Amino acid sequence: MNQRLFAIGLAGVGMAMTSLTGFCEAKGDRLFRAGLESYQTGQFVEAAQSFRASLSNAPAAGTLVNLGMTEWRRGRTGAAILAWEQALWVDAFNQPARNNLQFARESTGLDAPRLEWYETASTWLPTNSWAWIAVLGMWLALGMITLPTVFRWRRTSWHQTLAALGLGIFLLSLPAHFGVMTRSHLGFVLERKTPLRLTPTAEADDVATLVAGEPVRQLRVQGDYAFVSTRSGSGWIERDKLGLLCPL
Amino acid sequence: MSSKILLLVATILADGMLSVGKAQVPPQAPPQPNPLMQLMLSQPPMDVTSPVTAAASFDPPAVRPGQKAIYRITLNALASNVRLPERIPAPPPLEVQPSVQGQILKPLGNSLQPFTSINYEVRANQAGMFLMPAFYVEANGRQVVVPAAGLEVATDVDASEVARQLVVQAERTNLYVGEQVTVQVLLPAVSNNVESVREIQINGDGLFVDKGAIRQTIGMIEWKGSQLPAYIYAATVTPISAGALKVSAQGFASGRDFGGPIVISGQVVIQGGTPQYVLLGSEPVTLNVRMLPPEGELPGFKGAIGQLSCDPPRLATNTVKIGEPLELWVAVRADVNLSRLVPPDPPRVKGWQSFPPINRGYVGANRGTNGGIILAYTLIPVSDELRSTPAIPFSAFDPKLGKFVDLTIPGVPITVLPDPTYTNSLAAIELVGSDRSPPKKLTLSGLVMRPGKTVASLEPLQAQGWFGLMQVLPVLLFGGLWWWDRRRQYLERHPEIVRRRRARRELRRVRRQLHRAARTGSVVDFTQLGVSALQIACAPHFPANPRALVCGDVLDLLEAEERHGPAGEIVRRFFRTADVKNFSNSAESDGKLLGLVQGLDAILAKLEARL
Repeated sequence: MNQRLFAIGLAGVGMAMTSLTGFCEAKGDRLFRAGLESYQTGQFVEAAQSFRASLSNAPAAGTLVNLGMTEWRRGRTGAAILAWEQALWVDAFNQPARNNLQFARESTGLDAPRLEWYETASTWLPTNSWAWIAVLGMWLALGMITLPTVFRWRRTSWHQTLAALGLGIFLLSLPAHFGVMTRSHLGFVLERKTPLRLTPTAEADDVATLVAGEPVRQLRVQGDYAFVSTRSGSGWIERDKLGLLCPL
Repeated sequence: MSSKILLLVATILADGMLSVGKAQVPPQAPPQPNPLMQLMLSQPPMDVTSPVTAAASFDPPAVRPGQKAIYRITLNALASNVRLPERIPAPPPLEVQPSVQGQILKPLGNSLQPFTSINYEVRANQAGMFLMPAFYVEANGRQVVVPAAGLEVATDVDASEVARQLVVQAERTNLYVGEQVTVQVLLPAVSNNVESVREIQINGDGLFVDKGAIRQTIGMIEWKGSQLPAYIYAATVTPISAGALKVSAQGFASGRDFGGPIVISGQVVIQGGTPQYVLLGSEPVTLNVRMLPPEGELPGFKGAIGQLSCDPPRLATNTVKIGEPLELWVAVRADVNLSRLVPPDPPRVKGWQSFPPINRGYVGANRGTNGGIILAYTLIPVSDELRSTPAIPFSAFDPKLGKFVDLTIPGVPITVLPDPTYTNSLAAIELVGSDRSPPKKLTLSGLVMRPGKTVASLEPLQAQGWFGLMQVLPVLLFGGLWWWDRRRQYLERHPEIVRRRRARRELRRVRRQLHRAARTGSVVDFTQLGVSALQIACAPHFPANPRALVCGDVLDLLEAEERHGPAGEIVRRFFRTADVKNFSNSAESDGKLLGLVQGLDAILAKLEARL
């Protein structure tokens, strides 16, 4: 009796989860379509609101591309570049986002973020795939080392090959894995003429003035200010004028 | 003799030097007049020295409550030299809104006089006689008085007396970005008297007005249910942004001063006399402009919008030598003005060197076809194996169908003759040059129609807590396997543990059957099961197969007191009864054994405790 109740409860929870997921997807899709319609009629403010609401349900590469297009039409270069960078963060193979970023940077004279070699490696595949690759590689290697002993299988060369392969994949994916973590601190200036301050106060002297869309690297946070490193130097900028690639 | 020769040489040298000297000094050309200066001097002078005077009036001077009137200020000064106060001193019941402002140059004898007009829309919701007081404006750096003007607002005013204004009509109001539309600015005749309009401006954000495609006519129009003549100004307008765009117009009503060629049709009256220039505005018309659909775009689309068609392409000749330029003509027709068409580029294909097309002129409309332009492509074959010109991808967006239409210019059969002077290396060089495609011009991508790849969060997976926790599962799995392996090895070293555990399990099962047999009164089964239970409980101690044990083996495991006491007797009775049953023909059974179930249970419990 108890087992039956448990099974029914489990099925109920499963159905509720499926319904909830389906509801969220349907809502996100409806907002996405509303954004498309607003964009096509030239109502870019409404389109941006719809795309942002759709993203709050489920961040999707296509929605981010369209949000970037909308922000670009509104003249908000920083927000557009951030959206396209986030689209590439979600889907490294997204050609429209890559093309739009190239176009935006060529037309505004902005530079792309300066990446270390391990960060460049991390852009070759979708961000989350590196975590899965590292984990699968590690457990494959451990499994192939321990399981033949535990189950008293006759040791064969393919066990060792698989173990070596898993270990190799794990070790090779580590730099990219690290690159993903460091890239998550990249951000982009959202507003034009954003001052880069010497200290985290409103009265501080300006070190430099940043343009919208300029890439920065957030190093630490204090109150409403973030300490960032840019090509113009390091300093503090207001956090609401900074869009992080991976908002935490 | 020698002196004559010397004189001759000296004469020749002197003449030569004189010639060289003459050649070094070029003849003075007459000074050329500067054409720009000549053009400026040929224009009549502008009168900017006369004292500036201002005038003000209401049009019409009397209106009903709530009806619109135009308050018009005019000055004989350039508009850029006029500074108006931020708010004009209108009496409180009058609601004043800025309308239009314009400037025209009026002919005044042999000179031109600047004339600036500023219009305000005025409404009053209550009846009365309202006076707009005199006030100062700055013109040419001096203070000029704008005289007072009066407006009568009364309920018994003739409603047909309204402020004159221009009328804007758009051919279509639902458009796509980049689609051309003809916008007409009309000035209906008053009392069959048609007036021209000068300095017409079409106002509106997000619009491109093609000044090269303007036409002015006088013709009959249907206005408020009746036919009457009107001045008609038609211009081609192209929306360049999406959304609801408002289009309005302004211009000076200027009597018979047409200021350019005009087509007059029908019977109209044009009054003579000196024109009075009156600045008029219009009510706005809204154009609903959409972006082009991002899906379905075809190759060769360069922004052409309209109902376009291509005539079959023609060649100057169908037989060319390798390396000879060949001109391909194609007429593109459309229901819109094609003067700003961006023609499709020829494709970069192997075997052809191609050049961007040029406009070779226009073709007129005839027999139900639209007019258009002729594009000429210059193509150079660099191989004698070519059999036709390359197809040129071209497409346009048809706003009536709401989709892109393929207009690809097909290839035309040709014969390429080999030229002995055209070497393979030259062909290779040209071919390489032809294949060097120009750098691709970057543009924004279109909208993406599907959300695409979705993630739960932008936070990297490795930074999310659940992902770290999930790694505990394989750790637990491998830990469990390790523990199981260690346990298995231990049991292999101590098989008696396994035997005893197995014996305990088997003993419990047999004891349950034993009790069931006792309850049902099955003496035979009870006896057999009792013996089996005793054998199972004792087997791990030897170790031996339980069925191989005899009564003596079981008794050996009992304490000496038990062996000779009631417990030993019970064991012996069970084995004896079982042996009788198994090894003799006697069918008798000891029914009293069922009464020994308590005693047997106690023995089995003791034996089980020793396992």
